[in-house]
Amino acid sequence: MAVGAAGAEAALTVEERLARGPFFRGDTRTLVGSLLLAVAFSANMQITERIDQIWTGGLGVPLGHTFAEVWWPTAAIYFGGTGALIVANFNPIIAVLSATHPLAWSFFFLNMTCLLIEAFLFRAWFQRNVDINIVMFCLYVSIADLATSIVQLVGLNVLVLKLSFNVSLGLFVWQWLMATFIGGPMGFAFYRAVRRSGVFGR
Amino acid sequence: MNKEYIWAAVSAVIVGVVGVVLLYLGGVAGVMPKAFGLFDMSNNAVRAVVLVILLVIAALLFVAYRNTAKGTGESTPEAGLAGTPRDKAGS
Repeated sequence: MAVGAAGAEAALTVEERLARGPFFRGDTRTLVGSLLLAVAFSANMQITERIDQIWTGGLGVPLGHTFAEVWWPTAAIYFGGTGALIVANFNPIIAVLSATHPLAWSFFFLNMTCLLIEAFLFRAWFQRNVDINIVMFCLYVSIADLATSIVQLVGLNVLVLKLSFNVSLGLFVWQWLMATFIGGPMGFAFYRAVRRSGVFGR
Repeated sequence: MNKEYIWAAVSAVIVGVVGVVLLYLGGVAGVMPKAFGLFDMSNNAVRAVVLVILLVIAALLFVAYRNTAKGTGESTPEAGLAGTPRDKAGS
């Protein structure tokens, strides 16, 4: 029986094994791998958040949402809740210190909202499936980004900053669509490349 | 329903609500930081240095990660299995 269980475990893909393990892992590879993606994501945001600031006057982060989805799904799939929290909270520290965007102080909870949803959704998917296709991948990205955009629109822009709901709505629909239809496919391509390379395999 | 979906919704609501409340309280108190001003980010050279430092850290972390790796074998994605439930994939 033990041999059979070990054989069944060995037949699982990396993603399936990780999805069936603990949600919050504390091993060295998870911590270092999460930090690796967090730093790469932050380097990316050093450029995109500044363009967003110029582009929208600091009201929105369309490129931030879009390019975040390149890194976040992969972090959520391979590093679960630990990766979600590390990647979500590393960049806001750098963003506030280096003043990349006027709303940088709100990125802590906005990033966590999106990444925790993605971590749970991808975990649920890989508990039942061998692989993921681009449609489901983009659907999960879209759901998570929609939730974040709603929190950002209603919670931040309307409640805290007292901005007009109608003025902000178009901006947030725009950044959600960018994240879904541009960020999602880019994130899928990055995930496939990482999966093929086996760099996060174990 | 899968408990992961419930946790996704619950965590989003908790993080979102707590975050908005904290931001609201910070906004009312007038203590919301624009930036900490640790670096002079109006200088393009400083921006470039921050970017280079982040890239170097990423490269070092990648090396550190590879050194902790037990193996780098492919995770056996089968081209035709995308989106296929495991019990239907015949494995």
